[in-house]
Amino acid sequence: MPVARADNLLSEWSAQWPAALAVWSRFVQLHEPTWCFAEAEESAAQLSGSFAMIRLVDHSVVISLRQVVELGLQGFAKEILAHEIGHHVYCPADLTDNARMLARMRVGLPTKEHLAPFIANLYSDLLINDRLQRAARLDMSGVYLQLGSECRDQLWTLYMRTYEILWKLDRGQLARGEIDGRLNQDAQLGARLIRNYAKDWLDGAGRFAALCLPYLLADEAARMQKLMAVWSDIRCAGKGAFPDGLTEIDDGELTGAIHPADDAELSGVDASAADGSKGKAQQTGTKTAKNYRQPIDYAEVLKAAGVNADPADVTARYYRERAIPHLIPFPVRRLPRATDPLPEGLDVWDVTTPLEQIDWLGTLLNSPHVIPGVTTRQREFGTSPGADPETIPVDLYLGVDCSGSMGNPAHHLSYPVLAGAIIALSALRVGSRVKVVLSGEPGRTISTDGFERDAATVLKTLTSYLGTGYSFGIHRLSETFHPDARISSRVKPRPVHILIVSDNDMFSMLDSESKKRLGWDVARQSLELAGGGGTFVLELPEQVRGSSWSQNTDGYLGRIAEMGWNVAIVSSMEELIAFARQFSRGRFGGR
Amino acid sequence: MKCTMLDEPLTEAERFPLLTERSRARLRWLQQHENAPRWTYQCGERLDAAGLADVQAFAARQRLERCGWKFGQAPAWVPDFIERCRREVPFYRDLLSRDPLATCNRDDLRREPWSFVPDWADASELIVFRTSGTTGNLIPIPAHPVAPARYLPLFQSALAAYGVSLIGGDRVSVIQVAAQVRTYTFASISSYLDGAGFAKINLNPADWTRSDDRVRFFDACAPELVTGDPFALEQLAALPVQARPKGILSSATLLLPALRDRLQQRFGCPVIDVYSMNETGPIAFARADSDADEHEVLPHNLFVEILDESGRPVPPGQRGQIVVTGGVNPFLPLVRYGTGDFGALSFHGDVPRLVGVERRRPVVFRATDGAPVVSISVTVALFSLPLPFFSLHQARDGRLTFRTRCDAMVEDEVRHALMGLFGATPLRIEQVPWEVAWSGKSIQYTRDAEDTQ
Amino acid sequence: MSPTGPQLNPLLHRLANCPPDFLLGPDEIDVTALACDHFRALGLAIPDPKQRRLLAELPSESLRLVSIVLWLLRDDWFVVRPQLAEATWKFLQSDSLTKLAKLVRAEAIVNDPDRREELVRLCLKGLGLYPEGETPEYAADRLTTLDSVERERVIRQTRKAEARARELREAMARRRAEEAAARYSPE
Repeated sequence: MPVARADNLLSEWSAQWPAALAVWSRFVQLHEPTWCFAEAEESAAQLSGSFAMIRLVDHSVVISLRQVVELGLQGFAKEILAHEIGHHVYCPADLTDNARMLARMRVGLPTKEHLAPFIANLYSDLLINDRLQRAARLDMSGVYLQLGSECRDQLWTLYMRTYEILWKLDRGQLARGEIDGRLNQDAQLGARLIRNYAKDWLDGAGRFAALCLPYLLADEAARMQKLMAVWSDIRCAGKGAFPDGLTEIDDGELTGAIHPADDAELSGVDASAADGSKGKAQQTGTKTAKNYRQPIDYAEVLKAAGVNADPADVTARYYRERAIPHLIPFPVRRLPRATDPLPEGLDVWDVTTPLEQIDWLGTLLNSPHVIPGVTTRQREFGTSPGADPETIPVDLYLGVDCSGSMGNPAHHLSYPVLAGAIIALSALRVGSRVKVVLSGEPGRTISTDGFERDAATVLKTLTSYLGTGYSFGIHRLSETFHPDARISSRVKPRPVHILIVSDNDMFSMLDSESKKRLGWDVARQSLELAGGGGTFVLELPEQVRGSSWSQNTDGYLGRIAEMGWNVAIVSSMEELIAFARQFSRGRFGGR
Repeated sequence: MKCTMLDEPLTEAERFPLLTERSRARLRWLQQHENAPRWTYQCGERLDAAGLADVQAFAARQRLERCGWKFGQAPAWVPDFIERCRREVPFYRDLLSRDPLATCNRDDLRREPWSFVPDWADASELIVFRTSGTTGNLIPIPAHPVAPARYLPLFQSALAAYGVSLIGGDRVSVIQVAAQVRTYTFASISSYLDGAGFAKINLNPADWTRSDDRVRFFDACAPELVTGDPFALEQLAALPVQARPKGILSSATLLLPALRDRLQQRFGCPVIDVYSMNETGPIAFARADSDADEHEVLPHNLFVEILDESGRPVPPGQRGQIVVTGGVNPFLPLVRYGTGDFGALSFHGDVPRLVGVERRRPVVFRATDGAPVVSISVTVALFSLPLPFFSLHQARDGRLTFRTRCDAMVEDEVRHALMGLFGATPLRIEQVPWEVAWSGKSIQYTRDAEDTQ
Repeated sequence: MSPTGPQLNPLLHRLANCPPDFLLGPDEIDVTALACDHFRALGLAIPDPKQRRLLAELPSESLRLVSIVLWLLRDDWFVVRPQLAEATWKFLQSDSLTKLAKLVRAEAIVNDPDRREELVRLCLKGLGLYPEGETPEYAADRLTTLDSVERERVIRQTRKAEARARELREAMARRRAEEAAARYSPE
């Protein structure tokens, strides 16, 4: 683009920025757009295909003046700038709302869910443009005339006809394709929808998607997609951020995606049994129990919102969000008699130890340069008789059965994994360390390197998937709890509570032999070495307990208890969560 | 509240409504066998008592009714069938009222598959298959669980022509072998076969814990019947398995006579090529006494015609498009459905045979490390991406060219998926114009001809 | 068609502000009397008994609409044009008004912006007029778009066509459907 021309255009457009902001409000503050003049600049700004783009996380607007010229839109500076601002202040405006809009649209587009971002762009544009054309008297219709007058795609015709109706334009002024009775009424419904839901646009999103769906069936409105690709400004609106709260399905999400013809308020036509309609959207008087979406749908919604994160992170995030409402203080070990700490000696400070325990004087004596974990020393405290009971955190070994019968937690909600997440996060919160071991044996195992403090690592491991074998490999315990483990003579090992989440296949696993050791023996010894108690949480549905085919369940349970393990039976997955909450309230007595 | 988002995974009882103690034991035996593969999926027959009764009735009709017709005369059941479709199926109501002799095809199915479901069908019983063939994009096929189950009586028919019968009961009756980079593998049982076991396994070593598990598992199962596509069967033949099935059914792609003979030699049992299609179910099978290129029409309720471009039937021996009416799927009844395949009909009395059916040939690509990548692996890897059309070509030097139409995010996913299959092979992705993408072209796999060994 | 009629917006406002009395049904107000009042206001003789009986025999929902229309047409613009009286009388008993009355309740006519506009335009059309500043084509097109009869027809058709399709689409989109059932051979 020739420099002089570029400069002129830039100053013209730049000059319109304040006015464009003022169209919305005197108080809106957004920094000026990033202006691009060449393809290289567009790539650098991550602008591809569209002449304009917004990103919610940093409130940015990117405009390619090069493409503006190519498309002949130079004269629409105020219109386009005000439009982009509208995406920031009106719709979608907010990261979570953006994702929610996409989630609702997906519900309205069965078999065409992947077109939700495209439809979302159309919807938000309608809302914004209607405001701008009528209230601010901007020439939005001029922009569309310039962009795509001759397109005859049915969806484009519907879209343009909707604008014609909203703005009382002559038929055919914007919509050049064929308009039959059905399309005309659909456009009328679209116009009513935009007016009715101008304030609560999120509630109208599903309906708009349902309205568009029949026009997407034949060829996904390929030509219109091509046309609108140059103005797909909210395609990446969600990039760079992780919106919260999306595990939950809003009340309106599932019931809101009805075709406007079925909505008596929009269509003005009451429901009758004859035409098979579902009538007005069901409004329940009482608030229904919360609904949550499956992890795979959660990932799809985030993807649609432009969040390009590692799928493993997305899954971990899902379970974290689901677990957090259930967190409760994790049990701690109370010593019956505590004493005043007497400094005894120095021991090498472990990076997982809280900072306040480091004896800085001792550290500096060792070396003038402080390297955490290597040169830092931790004062070793012995005990002397004292008054207050002392509490020390109990670490957690969390063993989760991920054998073939358990589905992939990234696809469908896995209750054992969720229970594990609740307990693990509760433990981490009070300063305990957690080691996660997933196992499906014979087969594979995944675990954290050791006892971890980092929630992200713990969760990521916990939400991995194996699908191998038939049960948690109880023999794995010996890898962590063995008598020859190197222990510093002065540092007392922290007690560890072992929690195994499994089902009745655990019984066979206990009976089985590996490296010449019975599962029973490994379980017994590990419990002793761990020193913080142990619990089996076993899912045993009623029919398994009762049937003659099943093993002698009571016999097994008795033997497990005799070894000193606690056993919690849950007969359904939901009960597993209730257990997790109760467990977190428990205490550890004197083992 | 029936809602998409509240989808829970199925329970075992829903997957296997007719599970008995014996068949559950067989299922566990498969799932937890010490040499079992790392199952990637769970899937059951989903037949209840009514479903099983339907399959048994279908089997009875298949045994008793002669399949056949004379050229120029449709079988007696056809006019009633078409009339019922015209009354009860939205798509045919529309189509046949405009033209009673109209044909339909894959494009119609792609556009609105739900319009083929009869009015009386209960939506809660609906299941969906995805076509994974090499022609056309992946179309969701509405079906009822009796549809795949009805394949078993049809297989029994084909096997009976070779003097083979299945016993079922307390054994593993069927194993389907695949040889792909990744695919669904699962253990199941069939109530029609009296609770016998069925497993789909993938011969790719990555799916197994120990190197000899594949062989051990197969031999432990000792299935009566093995099914698979020719490439997978060839891989199976190369393994030191000792089990001897009573019969082998090959489908999906063309079974070349040389491979058929080799398999027959290796396993000492009949090897039967079955011409089948997702939308229709099995169509025809190769008889022992027929030419390599002749396939006898198999189902008693399938009417096959050969039509020219204007939709008129051609005389026997003349080539044209294979058009079918009927089918195993009550949720997708077919009336003059053009398969997109070409061939001719020949009649032996009133027994129709398809001659010279042009079948899809599998294309085997090479990954960076030389490992084979069958075309279907590519289809499966790209299965969930919204690509209207694509073609993949591999040049002699291994370079890949992928042509499609999609946005930048989907393009990234395509790249990721293909890298996962092929490794670090040079890959170029080209965007074709929108008009081409939606012109109804099919998925195409090609590679530069290699120098013959 | 005669040339331009009244401005649209003032009439829309007038209709939005229709006094509640005019919304009471024929049980509570004497619609015929109201109509006679209208004629008197125009300085004309009231219709003869036979005519008045025809009006009174209209179905009750039609009569509700009649009283609202009479409110509307008491606007100054119409009052000074008594030559429209005959067309008015015919319009009150017209098919188009009756059909509208069957489909839309009186309250909705007054409260819903689209229905208000529809009624105003319908009245103007019945009187051989169209709004000032519009072309006849635009006015006709706008009325078609708002027309409740057409809307009802299309909506019911849409519902029928969509309901089953949507039910099946949703069923097909469900995960349980996608898991399908075991297939014994590849295709």
